[in-house]
Parts: sequence; C-alpha cells; structure tokens
Amino acid sequence: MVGVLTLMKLRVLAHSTSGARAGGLFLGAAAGLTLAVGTIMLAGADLPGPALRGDLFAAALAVWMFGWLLGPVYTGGGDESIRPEQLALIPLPPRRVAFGFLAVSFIGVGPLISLVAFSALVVYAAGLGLAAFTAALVLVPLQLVLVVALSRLMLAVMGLAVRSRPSAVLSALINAGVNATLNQSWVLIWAAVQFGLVDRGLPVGFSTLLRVLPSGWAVVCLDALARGDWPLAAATGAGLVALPVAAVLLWSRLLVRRTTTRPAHRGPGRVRTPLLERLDRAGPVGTVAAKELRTWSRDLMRLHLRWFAIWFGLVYTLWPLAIGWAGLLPWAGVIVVVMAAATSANLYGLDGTALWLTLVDPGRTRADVRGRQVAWLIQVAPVAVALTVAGTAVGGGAWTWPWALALLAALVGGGAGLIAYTSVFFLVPGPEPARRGGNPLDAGNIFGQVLAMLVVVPVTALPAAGVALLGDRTGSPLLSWAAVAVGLATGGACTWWLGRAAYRRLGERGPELLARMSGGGTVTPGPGRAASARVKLPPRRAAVVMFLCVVCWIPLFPQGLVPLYLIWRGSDTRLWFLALHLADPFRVPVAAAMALLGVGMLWLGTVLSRSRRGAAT
Amino acid sequence: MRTPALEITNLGKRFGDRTAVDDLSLRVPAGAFFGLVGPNGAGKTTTLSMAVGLLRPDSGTVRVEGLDVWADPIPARTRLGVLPDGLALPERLTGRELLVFLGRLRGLAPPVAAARADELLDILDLAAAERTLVIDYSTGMRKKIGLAAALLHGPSLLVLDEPFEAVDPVSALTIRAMLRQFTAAGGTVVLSSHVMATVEQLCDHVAVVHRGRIAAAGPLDQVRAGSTLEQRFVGLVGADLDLTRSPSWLAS
Repeated sequence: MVGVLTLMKLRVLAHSTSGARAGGLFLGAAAGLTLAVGTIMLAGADLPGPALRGDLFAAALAVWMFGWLLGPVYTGGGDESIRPEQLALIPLPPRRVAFGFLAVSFIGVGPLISLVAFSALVVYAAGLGLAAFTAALVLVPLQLVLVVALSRLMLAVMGLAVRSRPSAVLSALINAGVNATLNQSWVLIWAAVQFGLVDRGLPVGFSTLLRVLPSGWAVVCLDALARGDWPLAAATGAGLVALPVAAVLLWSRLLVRRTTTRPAHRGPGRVRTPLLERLDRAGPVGTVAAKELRTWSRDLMRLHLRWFAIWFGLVYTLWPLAIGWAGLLPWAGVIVVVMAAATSANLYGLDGTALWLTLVDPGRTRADVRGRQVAWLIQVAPVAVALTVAGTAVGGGAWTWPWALALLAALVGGGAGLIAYTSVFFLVPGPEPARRGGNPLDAGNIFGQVLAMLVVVPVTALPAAGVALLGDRTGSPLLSWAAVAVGLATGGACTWWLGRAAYRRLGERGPELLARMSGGGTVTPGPGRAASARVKLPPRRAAVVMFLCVVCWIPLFPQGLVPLYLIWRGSDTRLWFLALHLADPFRVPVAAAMALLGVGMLWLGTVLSRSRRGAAT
Repeated sequence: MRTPALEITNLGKRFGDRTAVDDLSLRVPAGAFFGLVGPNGAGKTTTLSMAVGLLRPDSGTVRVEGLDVWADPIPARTRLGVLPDGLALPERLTGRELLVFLGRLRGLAPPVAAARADELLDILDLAAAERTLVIDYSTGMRKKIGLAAALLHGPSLLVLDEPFEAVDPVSALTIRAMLRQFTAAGGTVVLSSHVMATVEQLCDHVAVVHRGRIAAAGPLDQVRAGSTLEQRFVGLVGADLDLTRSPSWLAS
C-alpha cells in the first residue's frame, strides 16, 4: 500500500511540475537549505559556554519543529497532493491508511531539507564519544519522522477545528499565539546575546523548556550518552519512537472523522445588519463589498485567516508585558494590517471559478475590485485604528503618536492596494470552495505569496516613515505630524492606483485568469494560454528539472560556497564538507568546482523548464 | 429469501437545525435494479452517502449484504462499488493511472489492475483521452471515470448517484447495457436520477424520497399504480404544478 501511494504521489508531482512551480521550488529549497546549513554550523560551532551550544542547538531544533507544526496551517493547508477523501471508499483499515499517508509525506523537498538540517545531530555528537555518535545516526531519521508525524497530526486537528465559527476563531487564537510567542522567543535569545548572558548559557527555565519539548529529546539523549547516563538516554530514545507512533494512531482516528463528517456552514442570522443593508443599496461597489463581507464572515477559512491576523498582532505586542515592557503595544494595529494583507492576497483564488460571474457581466470588473478593497478596509481598518489608539495611549510616548498613525495610514492604504494587485497579477489557483472537502485550510500553494506580502506591504510605509524620521531628527513636531498626511496620501494613492491596475488587468485578461483557476486550458485556446502556470512538462523532463533544482543546492552551498568561506576564514572545521577533507592544493579548486557544478545544475534546470514554455507558445 | 443487498434502518441526519434525512428505512432486494427519485434537496444524496460510509449518520444502521457499514466498514466496502456525488478524484493523474492505482490499493495484482483499467477505458470510450489529466476532463468524462473506479474491483452492489448526468447518449446506452448485464448476473444496482423515463426503463424497483422520508417504495408497477412514474411522483411530493407561470419580464 505504501508502494502504491508513493508511486501515485510521484505521478501527481510529475504532472504538476511546471515552470512557475519550479521557480517556487528554487526559492523554497534555497531558503530551506540556508537554514539547514545554519543549523549544521550551529551544531558544530565553537561557543564559549559548553551548555550554550546545546541550548542554541535545541532552540534551532524547536524552530524546525514549530515550523513543521505551524507552517502548513497558514500557508495553504499543507500537502494535499493525495487526499484522504479520494481513498475513502477503499476497504483498508484507517491505521494502515494513516501510516501510508505518513510514509508518502516524506516525499518532497521539505523533508529532504529537514533531513539535511537534522544531520546536524551527527555534527553535534561528533565530540561526544562513540556511543553518542552512533546514536546520532539513528536519531537523524527519528527526528524527521517525529516532526512529520506531529505536523500531519497538527494539521488534522486544525482542519477539524476549523469546522465551525467559534472553533475557527479559537484555533486562530492558538495558532497565532504560538506563532507570536515563537517570534518573541527569538527576540529574547537576541537580547540574551546582547547582554552577555550567553557565557553562562541561556536562562535555566528556557533551556529546560527547550529540552522538555519533543524537538529537544534527541539533544538530551546525546548529552546523556556522553555523560554515560544510560537510563535517561534510553527513555528519551524510546520517547522519540513512541511519540510519532502515538501521533499517527491518533491521526488515523481523525482521518476517519475527516472523511465522514462535514463542516457546519452558517447561513444568514436573524439579526439585521444595517451596514450590509446600506452597502447593498450603495451601487455596484457597495453590492460587491456587502457580498465580500458576508463571505468573510461565512467562509470558515477566511474567518480563520482574519482572526489569525488580529490575534497575532495582539499576542505579539502583549507578550513583552510579561517582562514589564509595553513599548510594542502602539504597533499592534500596524502588525494586524500587515498580517491581514498577507493572508488576503489571494482573493480571487479563494473564490475559485466564481470569477465567471464577473466575466459574463461586462463592465463589472471595476466594481468587483473596488468592492473587495472596500470590504477589506471595513474589516481591517476599524480594528487596526482601535488597537493603535489604545496601544499608543497605554504604551506609547509623545513621539510614538505621529509614527504609529502615519505608518498605520500608509499600511492600511498600501495593503488595500496590494491585495487587489496581487490577487489579480499573482493569482494562486486553489481548490474550489465547494471542493475543499476535509481540509478547510486548503488554500492552494500560497506560501510564497504570504512571504512576499510580508516583505512588500511594509515597503509602502517607507515614505511616511522617512518623513517621520526627518521630523524626529530635526525635532520638528510639525514635520512629524506631516508624516501622517504623507501616510494618508501614499495609502490613498496605493489603494487607487494598484486597484486600478488590478481591474484593468482583470478586464483584459479575465478569461486567462479563469482558465488558470480552473486548472484546465479549455476556456480560451489562443495567445496568453501558454503564459499560464499550467504548461506541463513531459514526465521525464519534469523529473530531471525537479532533481536538478532539489539537488543543485548541495554542491552550491554546503559543498561549494561554505567550504570556500571556511578556507578564507582559516577555520579548521571539516564536518561533511568534502573539499575540507582534502590536502591543500586541492581544497580551493574542489570547492570552486562544486560551486560551479551547483550553478550549472541550477542553470540547466531553469533552461529545461523555460525552453518548454517557449516551445508551447 | 436472500439477504437484502442493502438494508437501511431508521436512518437520520441533521445539518444544524435542518433535518436532511428523517428516520428513513429502505430495503433493496438482492439482484434488484433500484431507482431512487425525489425533488432537489429531498435527501437522496445524503441518504446514499450515509449508506456507503461516506457520511456518518446521526442515527440508524445500514447493512450491505448483512454487513454493518458503520460498525465494520471494511468487509462492506469490498462488496460496494460507489459513484458518489461531487466525486473527489486525484486531479493530476491520467484516467489510466488513476484506475491502476485505485485497483492496486484495493489489492489487485499489478497486471490485473492494468488489464481491468484498459478494458474499462475501452468500454467507456475514455481510451482516446489516455494522455489527459483528470483535471482536464469534461463533466461527463468525470462521471465515466468515476463509474470505472466503482466497477474496478468487481463489486456485488453498485450505488450510483446520478450516473447518467452529463453523459453523452452513446456512452449512456453503453452504461445501461453494462448495468443490465450486471443485474442479470446477480448484481444489485441502486441509482438516483431525476429522469423519470430512465428510471422507468431501467429499474424494476423504485423509491420516492421526499423531505428526508420515503414517500413510496416497492416494485415499479406497484409504485406507478397504473399511472406514469412522473404523474405519481408529482402527486406524491405534492407539487402544486402551474404550467402557465413564467417570469413576467422574460421575452414579453
């Protein structure tokens, strides 16, 4: 059964690798491998305190684990290349199905990169004696099984939780709370490094917590082996086997629930909503806005995304109150706006092929885009303003008022513009809302889009920030407050101009967008079709492209550039860098050749996927 | 008397405050060609989903050839072939790949799965679309590949939700002939349809579902009671037919 599922997933992946997807794969693989190499270097690093290396390494492993746990929840619902619903009729016991799904979860770039990262355990154990070194070889795959099993379980729990309105909001709180807390724990580590706490290791409570988390058990096990503490080593090792097994058994029960129950959608309530009624009467833009607001409150995924943004801003800024610092509170509204923009940047993708309604009604594209912008503003702006005013009143000083309001104004407008622009120009096809099935969080592959928005949205606040900074430097309150006006102006301009670009594009390329969304190319055979992301590579070439872009990073970074850097720095670390194990005349040429090989593979992969796209036009 | 192919007892399902299926009981004799008809929203699809193990009922039991679908799903599923409503399929596989993989997951040996897939694709006129991914299939082709998936493992009870919807006339004739041969050889078919003529031609038993309950059930002639099925249907669901009504602004 595992064999068949594996082949099935490989076929699905082979049929899905296209030029655009390969591009996303490049970026993801590059970012992931950078982190993996960082983890390996941390594990082998020569740090002042003996406990510190273990602390920081355990912290890095915790980050990998939480990345696996939370990443899929708000970046498109995880791996849905094969869905349990598709196999619901097959007479197989749920446990076998769960273990089968777990096994195929290891196929992909993410697990491969994580395996590279977890090989840091071997590096960590290198100085801890033979027993620890041998155990580390076993712990590397166990660590991967642990995070993947917990990730699948987490996603199943969240998927079932987001099946009614209260639990969608509550799960958004938990999700955002853990996320924000993780972000803040890095701030704490940074502060510890800044204040020289690192000589003695991290604060005791924190370092204990890192080792109590399952992600740290492997470190505990290796340290115990180094000390000769066999019972502790055996206990943590057994835990690393038992926990994934327990997770998968629980997951198998949730799989059955997923395929045999349905989310409870809520229809209109009996309470009258004056705002919606007024919008309904306010012309086409108002009608679209009212429709959008209704969707935001009835679509469980949108509800979850919206509350995720709000909770994230709140928890992120409330957290430092624990150490008596209220200085982040004024920025709660700003953070909510950026987060809300990042999670709303695929408005048309979320609607699926419902775009046809707009396309058959000529001249409605302007109202459709503007209405969606208005709805987003109504959803986000009042909350953000309230949080900013309250937060600044409590935690801000005189100088924060113009800053907070200026950034808020610029970002609210910039966000409203960018969500419209991104939704149309960088549409990510997702499943039809009616076909999301057992995973209400399945939003398509929006990971790259969310990341890009988190970077680009703050850029829209740069002019306002520049003026505010100038005001601070010159000590002129007039200039500081002028920043608010600048923020309002750039925000308004972004909303207007980017929105206009979006509806013009929608008017010109509507059918292509619809074709891209439905995933089929049958709507408009003609020019433009080839530009869509669904140009398929022949299976063999797709496999080659996939192999090249997954593997090229290994010669390029860990075997090429990193050894070159180490040679330049005169370090005598060797780890698994081939070139560093050679005698001197060969070290540099071998490392350089590796780097060249990596670049060559990258280039070849790009050319292979591109030339096909060119041929299809 | 043989064990009924499908026996539904006191089945109930609520979605929020709406009752979709209300204490519904139904018995499908082995070897029957059973038609399930009813107005939109009557609970046909909900009933069939619960009957095949795809939607957990709030109350009641379902037995397939005496085997409880919910207490012990696996033996029941081996006997069932299902074409569900709005069927979820792995979209990025070709029709042949899909059938071969599903067959192998059901425990068929690779050559057997491949041979059956080829035969089904050929019979259902899908062989020409061999290199097309399921995502690019038309609605009718999706129905046909779903039907092929339901037949693949040689079930003894077929439960088909609207099998003829969007299927072209030639394929429809092929499917009818195939289903007739299947029942002639002792298999049982339960299908839902809105086309009364199809049901009258094909089925020997019918049930009319209305508001989550059975309004009438039994052998076709008994339910028709001397009239046509369409007339009986309209009478049973109590529709207030007014054929003179039409939107006032339309073509006036």
